Amino acid sequence: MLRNVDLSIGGECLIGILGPNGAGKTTLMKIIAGLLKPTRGDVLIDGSSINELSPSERAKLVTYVSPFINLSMNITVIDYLTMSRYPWIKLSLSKEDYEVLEYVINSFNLHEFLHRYLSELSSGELSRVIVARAISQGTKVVLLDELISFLDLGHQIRTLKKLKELAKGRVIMVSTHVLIPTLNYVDKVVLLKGGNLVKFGDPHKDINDSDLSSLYGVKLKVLREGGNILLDIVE
Amino acid sequence: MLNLLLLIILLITLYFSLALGPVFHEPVFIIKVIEGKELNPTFIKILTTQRIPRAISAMLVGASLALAGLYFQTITRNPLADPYLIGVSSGALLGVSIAYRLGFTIKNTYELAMVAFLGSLLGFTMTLAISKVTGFHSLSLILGGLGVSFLLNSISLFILITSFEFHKVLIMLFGSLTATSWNLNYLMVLTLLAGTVYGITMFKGLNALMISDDEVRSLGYNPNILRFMTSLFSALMASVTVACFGLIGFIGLAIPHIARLLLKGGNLITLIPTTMLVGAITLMVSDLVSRTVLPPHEIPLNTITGLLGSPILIYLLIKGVRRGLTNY
Repeated sequence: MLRNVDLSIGGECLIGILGPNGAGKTTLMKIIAGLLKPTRGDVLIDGSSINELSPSERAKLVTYVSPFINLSMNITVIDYLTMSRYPWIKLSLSKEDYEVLEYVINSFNLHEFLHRYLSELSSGELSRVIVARAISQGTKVVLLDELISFLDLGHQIRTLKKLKELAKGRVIMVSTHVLIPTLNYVDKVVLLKGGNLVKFGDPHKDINDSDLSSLYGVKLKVLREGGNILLDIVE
Repeated sequence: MLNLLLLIILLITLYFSLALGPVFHEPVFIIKVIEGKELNPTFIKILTTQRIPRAISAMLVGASLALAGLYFQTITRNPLADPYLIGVSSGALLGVSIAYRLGFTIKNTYELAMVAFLGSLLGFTMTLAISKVTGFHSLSLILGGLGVSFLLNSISLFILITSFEFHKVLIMLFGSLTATSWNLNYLMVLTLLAGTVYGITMFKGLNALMISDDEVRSLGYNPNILRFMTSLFSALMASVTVACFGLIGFIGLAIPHIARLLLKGGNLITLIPTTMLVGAITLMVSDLVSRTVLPPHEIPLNTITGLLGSPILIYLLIKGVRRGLTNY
C-alpha cells in the first residue's frame, strides 16, 4: 500500500530506495515498471504513461528484476541473459543484440559462468548475473529489487560503481537494506516508510540523522568525511 | 547435430518396429518387401494395416506426451510435472469412461477426444486448486495430482468395469497401441502439430515463464494468458493419447529430463524438437518391447514406461529435495 508518493526523477542517475521491511519498496518499483497498476496516480516516462503503453513497448522502456527466480528448470546463464533481448529480437539475435550481451558479460565478468545452470551459481554470482540481465535489456529505466543484499562487500562496491557508470545512459533504481556502501554511490535516495514517501534527496546533502533514525526505529548518526558517508549506531 | 543423430536412431527404431512382431519376426523382411521379393499378401496386409500405423501411433503418442510433459513443467516451473502425475491423464480417462458408458465407441474418435479433453481440464483444474491451497509448493502439485489421479481413476474404473469386459478395461488403464488406426493417427497429427506450432511461436514467453512471472511481465508478455493457453494445448495433446490408447505414464516426466541432459540446457526452442524426437523413439522402443517379449501376449505399455520413468522421478525428487525445491 503506497500513498502520496510523488517523485520526479530527472535524466540519468543512480537512485537508491531505502526503507524497513514492508515499507513498499517492491510495490513502488513494480508500479514504476508497470507490473502493478496503481489504484490512483500514474507513472510517466518521457511524458508518456507507463500504463497506456502496450506490454511490448513497455518492455523496451523499463526493466524490473528481483532475486526471486526459479532455478529448477536447467536454464543456463547465457540462455537467461539472452532472454533479456526478447523485446528487441524478431527471429534471431542481431549484431546489436550480440554486442549488448558481450558488453554485459565483460562488464560483470561472467565468462566463466556462461554455460552453467542458474542453480549451480552461488547467491552472489546469481545476483551479478541478474544485474547483468537487467542491464542487457537495454531500457532507459532499470529497476533492481534487493539484488545488492546478496553480494559480499567487495561485489557490492564493484556493482554499485559499475551501476553508477552505467547510469550515465539511463535511470537505475536499486532497493536495498544495505545502507553502506549504497548511500555512498547513489545520486539520490528515496526513503519510504509504511507506504509513505519520507524523503527524496541527495544522500550527501539532504539526508540527516533523524531521517534514518525514524526510518528504522533505531538511533543512527550520519557521519560525512571527505565525501564519504558513514553510519554510527548511537544506541 | 544432436537432432540429426536422434533422427537416425528414430529411423533405425522404426525399421525394427516394422520388421519385428509376433506374426513374423525377421529383420530383413522390410528389405525384401522394398525389393519386391516378399509378396505374401497376408504379411503385406499386416504391415500396412497393423505395423505401419502402429509405429506411427507410437511416434505420435511419444512425442505428444513428452511435449505435454515439457509444457506442464514449464508452466508449473516444476521438473516433476507429467500429465500422468498431475491429474490430466486421469481426467481424460474419466471423460472417456463416461463417453463409453454413454455409448460412444472408438469410431467416434473426435467426439471421444473432445470429452477426454474436457475431462483432462477438470483433472488439471482440481490439481491446481489443491496446489493453490497448499501454496504452490513443487511437491504439493505432485501429491495433489496423485490424489486427484487416484480419485478419478477409481471412478473411471468403476464406470468401465460395470460396462465392459475386463480386457478392454485393462487396455485403458495400462495403455496399449493395439487400437491403432489411420484415423486415430490423423487426429494425433493434428493435435501434435497444434501443440508444436504453439510452443515454437510462444517460446520466448514460455522460456521467461520458467524464470518467474515478473520476468515474463518485464519482457512484455502476460504470464496468466501464457499459462492458460499452454494448459489447453498440453491437455489437448495428452488427452487425445488417453482417448486413443489409454493411460501411459512417465513419458512426460522422463523425456524432457533426458532432453535437458542431452542438450545441457533448458531453452525451449532447442528442447521442443529434441523432446519430441526422444519421446517418439522411447515410445516406439517401449511398444516394440511390449509386443515382442512375451508373444503372443502384450505387456501393457505403462509397465515399460513406468520402469523407465519412475527411477527418474525418484532421482529428481531426491536431487530437488536436497537442493530445497523452491518455486517462486
